[in-house]
Amino acid sequence: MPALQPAVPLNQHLRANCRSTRQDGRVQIISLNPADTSDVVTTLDAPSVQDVVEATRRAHAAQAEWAKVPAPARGRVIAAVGRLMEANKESLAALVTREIGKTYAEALGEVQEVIDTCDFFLGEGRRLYGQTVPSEMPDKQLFTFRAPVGTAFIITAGNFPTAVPSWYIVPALLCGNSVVWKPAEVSPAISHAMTSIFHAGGVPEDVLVTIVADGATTGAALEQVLEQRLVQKVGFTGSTAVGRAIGELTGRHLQSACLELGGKNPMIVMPDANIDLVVEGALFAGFGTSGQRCTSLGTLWVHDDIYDEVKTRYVAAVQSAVVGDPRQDVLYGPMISQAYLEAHERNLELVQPHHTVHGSTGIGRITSANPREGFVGDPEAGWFAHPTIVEGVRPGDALYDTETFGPLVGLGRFSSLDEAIKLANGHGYGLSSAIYTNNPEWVWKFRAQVSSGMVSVNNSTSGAEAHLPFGGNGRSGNGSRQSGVWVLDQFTRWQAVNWDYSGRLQKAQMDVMELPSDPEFRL
Amino acid sequence: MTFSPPESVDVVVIGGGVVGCSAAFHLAEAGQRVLLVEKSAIASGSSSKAAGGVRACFSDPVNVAIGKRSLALLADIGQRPGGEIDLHRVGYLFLCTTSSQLDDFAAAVEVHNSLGVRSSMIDVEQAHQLSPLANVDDVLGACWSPDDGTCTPEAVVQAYAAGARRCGAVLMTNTEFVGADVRDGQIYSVEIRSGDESAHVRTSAVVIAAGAWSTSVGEAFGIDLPVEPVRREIIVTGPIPGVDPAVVARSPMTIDAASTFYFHAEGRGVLAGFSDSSVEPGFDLTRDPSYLEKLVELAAFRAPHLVEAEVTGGWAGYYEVSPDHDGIVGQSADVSRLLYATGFSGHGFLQGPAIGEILRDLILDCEPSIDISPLSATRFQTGVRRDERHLV
Ligand SMILES: Cc1cc2nc3c(=O)[nH]c(=O)nc-3n(C[C@H](O)[C@H](O)[C@H](O)COP(=O)(O)OP(=O)(O)OC[C@H]3O[C@@H](n4cnc5c(N)ncnc54)[C@H](O)[C@@H]3O)c2cc1C
Repeated sequence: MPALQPAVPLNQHLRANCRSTRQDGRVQIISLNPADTSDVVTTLDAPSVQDVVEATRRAHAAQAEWAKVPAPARGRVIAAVGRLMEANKESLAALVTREIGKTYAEALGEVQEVIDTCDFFLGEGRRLYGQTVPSEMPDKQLFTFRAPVGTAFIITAGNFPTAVPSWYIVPALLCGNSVVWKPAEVSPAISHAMTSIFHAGGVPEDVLVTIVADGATTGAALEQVLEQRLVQKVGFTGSTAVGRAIGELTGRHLQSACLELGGKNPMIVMPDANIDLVVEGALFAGFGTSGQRCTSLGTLWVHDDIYDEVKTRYVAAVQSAVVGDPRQDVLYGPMISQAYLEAHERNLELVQPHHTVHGSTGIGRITSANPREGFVGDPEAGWFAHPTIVEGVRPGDALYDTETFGPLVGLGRFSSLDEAIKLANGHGYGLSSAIYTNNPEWVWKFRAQVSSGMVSVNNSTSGAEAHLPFGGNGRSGNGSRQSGVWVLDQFTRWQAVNWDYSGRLQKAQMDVMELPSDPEFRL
Repeated sequence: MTFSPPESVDVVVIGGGVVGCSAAFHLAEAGQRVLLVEKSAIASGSSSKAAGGVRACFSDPVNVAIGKRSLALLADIGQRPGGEIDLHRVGYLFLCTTSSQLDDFAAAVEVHNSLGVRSSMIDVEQAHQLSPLANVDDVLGACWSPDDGTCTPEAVVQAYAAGARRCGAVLMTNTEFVGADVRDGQIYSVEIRSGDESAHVRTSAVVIAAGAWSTSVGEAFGIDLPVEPVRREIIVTGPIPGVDPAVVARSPMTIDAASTFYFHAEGRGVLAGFSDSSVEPGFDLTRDPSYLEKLVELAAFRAPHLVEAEVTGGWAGYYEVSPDHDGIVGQSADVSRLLYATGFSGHGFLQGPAIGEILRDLILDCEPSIDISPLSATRFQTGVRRDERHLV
């Protein structure tokens, strides 16, 4: 009888290649479904540096005409885009689930955030207020106008392939800018769908140009387009390391980029906290989206008095959480791509002997040899990872100040609020933070002293609403804010206008009318 | 209809059966520009003649993996590409009547389980409970594969064809592949013809999925695809007198491992057939008047109730048979980007979904998730024969 065992394990090896070089030398980007790597979502030819520069040139050339469209008319375009996003919500969300593995429920939420962003900015088209300002001279008027900055080059990450880009693209377009959008390489089909919806809503083709390229190509192209003054604003959501490089590059061109970088978001649990709420919030913040949000929970800091109870209940909740096929009712699906899984596995090497690991039957990739209880679907088909709680994290540990961007949550303890605030700030990130307490004194003290741009009270670190300022400080960003009215300052420049109709040269400060006063007067 | 083929595409697929349409869908969905040519109508070849059995329970690990993947794709067809195919996962039941068959299926069960297919060997009583229409007097045991089943072949092909079109593929029916411009191992164009009109379409990649007609298509590229057409017939019955229709509807695909006699629920009756080894290869679909007689003889013993039922239909189609009765899939070593997928010898319908995906990966130069190198046509030169033992 011939050997029955296959020479190579079938169906069990992971498909790694996201790029392949074809015989004709063209490099192809291949986007795989991370929950089922046999499924190729789309392929496209990787652009050259020159292609990216040309795309930017087109957007730059189209900007002036777009800026001439009255802002309320641009607002109508955003309204149409929003309606189309709504009409295509389910199919776009299904594509998000398929291409980056976000659960369908979260994907629907993400697309809703795009719709909300459109809803907010369609009205801004009829405001985009400037001011009339009194002049110190007679027969002279002063005004302020919001002027578009020009062409924006927007680089976004793969974890929020629709919502985060919309935070940039929608206000940038509304304000009269043209946009070159460089989405993550892991989500080309989603970006194509998004772009098609913008164009169908009435955004002229060249006013929004989308081009999927890798980091090296993008970086080289960015140097050229800044040098050639084709770009006036760079927006970047991604890692702190790349954000730093972009900050340096744009700084050399006297531009300040809009940078939304990583986080190591703390959750502080005070002794009076509602523990049910803590467990639920920390479960979603830590492991929702496989921990791949910039606002994901970094370390759960628990007060000594309730440490044991919180720990026991949190560990139990994580152990019983359902992981698997993102189309089903699960807490989280696969990692976004193989690279994210590998990065997570490298982060697991940061676990030290004084740490204790909880949360699952194993760590790292879920396979049939390293199974997760209750897994939904076939773990071998995709890039799935066990949830991991690392207990005993403290300052000095790599895990204290390394953003892990995966299903890994640190757990540590503290004895006073002052200590907790030190722990919350000590790593230098400052994106999001949370405190669980009902004591107003503690809330206000924490708010005032924590260094993060966003603070949650009795709520998880993630889950921004579309009209509050979003952004961080320190290693999390350069202070730029997105969303709501605050983002307008990213995509417009104040222009000050004075109009003198006196027929004379009235010199400011010198020709100012002076009315007599009596400085000696006393009652 | 006007004859206006695209001037140039990334890939030309020859054949509009399950294999060609699945390949066209997966390629177009992945962003490739695809032209599929079908000399007659979509699903006019073997694909619409299949019994509709879909299974992972083979003896060979490559076939198990392909079957498993196909089942996953068929279960998901409502989402990708969309459509209703009446997939009934009633299971496959191979009845064994000799101890060597028992050993052989038991070994296969180990292969299944090692690849995540949950099958098992069961005793006669369990087999009878699962398939009450079967006479198990001489049965020693059975191989039971609960996740297998049946679905409607025509619907599967049409779903992939519609999906391919939606993704931008051009599907031309009544359009035949007639020749190719191949120089120095490179494909430059293919020639296609519809009635008295013809055209050359530029392409650098071709997929041969021409079923029983693949040998002559292969010749146009100078490659040897040894496939012979062998007529296979099927009988469909009305309700079975004296048997509860619910029992019939629940029947798994039941197969007598020794004779290949099989049946499964179809409409209100059953669909039954067997592979008549006396049929000579050749393009001839004239139905054999003695086929029904032979089938009734097999049924009278293995599933006596069936004999009471009225024959309401039936048909003949071709198995596209390879020398070792297993699929021929791979890419030519001499002509760059020439792929072939044919010779499935009776299990091409169920392999088509996964094979289409694998063809896409080969075109994209992306390592397929199933290693199909053992299916390469080169095996007929090197003399390594496939050893799939659980054929129907
Ligand atoms: C009675 C019967 C029962 C079966 N039962 C099962 C079963 O239960 N399960 C299973 O998996 N399989 C079964 N099969 C086998 C299955 O039907 C085939 O293996 C499968 O359909 C092959 O698909 P294909 O796409 O390769 O070929 P086809 O469906 O034959 O498609 C090939 C197409 O190519 C076209 N073509 C040929 N030459 C050219 C040309 N020069 N230019 C353009 N077009 C061309 C043909 O017109 C044809 O439409 C059965 C077959 C028969 C006959």
